[in-house]
Amino acid sequence: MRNLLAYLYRIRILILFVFLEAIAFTWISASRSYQRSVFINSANSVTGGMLQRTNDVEEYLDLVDQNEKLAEENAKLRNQSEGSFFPLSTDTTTVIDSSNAIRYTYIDAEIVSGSYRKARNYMTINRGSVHGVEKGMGVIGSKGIVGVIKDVSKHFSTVIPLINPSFSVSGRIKNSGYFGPVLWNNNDYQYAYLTDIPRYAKINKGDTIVTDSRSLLFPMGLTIGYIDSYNLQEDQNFFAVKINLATDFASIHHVYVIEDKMKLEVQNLQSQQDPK
Amino acid sequence: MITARNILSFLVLVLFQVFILNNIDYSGYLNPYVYILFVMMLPVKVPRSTVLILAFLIGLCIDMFENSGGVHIAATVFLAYIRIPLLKVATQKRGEDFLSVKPNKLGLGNLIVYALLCILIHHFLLFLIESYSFRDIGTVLVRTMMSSIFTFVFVLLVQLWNFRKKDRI
Repeated sequence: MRNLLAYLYRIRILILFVFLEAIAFTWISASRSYQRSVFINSANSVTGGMLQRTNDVEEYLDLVDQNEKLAEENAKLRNQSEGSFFPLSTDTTTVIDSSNAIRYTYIDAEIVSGSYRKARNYMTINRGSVHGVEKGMGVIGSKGIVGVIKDVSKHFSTVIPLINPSFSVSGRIKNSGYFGPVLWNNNDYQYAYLTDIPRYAKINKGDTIVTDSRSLLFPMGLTIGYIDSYNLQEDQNFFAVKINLATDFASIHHVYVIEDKMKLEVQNLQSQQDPK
Repeated sequence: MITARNILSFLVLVLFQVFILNNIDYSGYLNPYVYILFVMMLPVKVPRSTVLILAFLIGLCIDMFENSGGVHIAATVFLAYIRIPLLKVATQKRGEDFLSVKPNKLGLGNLIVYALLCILIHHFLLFLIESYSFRDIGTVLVRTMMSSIFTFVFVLLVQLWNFRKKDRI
């Protein structure tokens, strides 16, 4: 017995070592089990509180990173939302009528960027060659005409709007039938001028200016604007009529691109008239 | 045998480990564990049972903060158990000579051998117990190597700083 005790005393370090390791491995096993009713965990008040505080500091220091991550996530979610999908086909309803040939079809579009305060304004719409948009097609909005297609890419097109000095369209006073070019003189996105109206024409304020049948861009009779005021031009023989534009370029969003199915036919015919 | 200085270094090492080093966690592979310096540097005269219990306590502290169950206790208690043999291997001293060895005042060569042995054994055991199987032995070895390098650099820096400080005084 004494020998045994002496022996145990000799290996007391080993016994202590095994005992401590046994505790450790018991706790390790317990921490792997699903119950996790473990004595050692950072949920207790001392370590938990300290970790919470460091966590707060870390979170604060990490805000820039977190913001970036949230922004990324937002972008991701936006990518999944309906608005970010780009429809490759547009619904065009065609009415079949054997007594009338279809001349114009409309492609709906949204303005994805645009200016209205510059001296030369441009717009970009989310329709391109895949949707059938071509250079030179007219663009209208719900209230009146908007502009003409300038360049076309696969999915997008640029528009020269009415409020660009390069744009010109043939306009007509709806009541009297006098016509002339409508021009914009880079002052104000709300107004344009109808020029070359003969001085003997009768003009009333508020009269509607519509597209003329001479225009190859638009079907006839679309609203351009309303007469605001009029002056004699410098040559004194013609009026310059100030038009309050029907389209509000500051708020326009949805537009339609007009495809003139007979444009080529008219152009070919006209080019034959030109003696070359 | 346990001085205020020991208690202070115990606390400093635990706090340094928990609030600074544990946040390094680079892709799950870099986890330097400098706290074992406490066990490594206890004087030779401290009773082995005391060393074992202190190792148990410091491992318990780290485990509590890391939620690691008891892996630090297991690895650190083992280190405490084999620390004297390792020190003997590193210093090549026996008997009476060995009693004069001061672990925290080793020469650079002895320190490197002693520190490398302690760190590699401790870290290997730690990551092995943590993975709880021999299946991921490759990952365990990679983690051991990567973390050991960092712990080793930290240990050397701390010891050199201690050494120079004592030299000046």
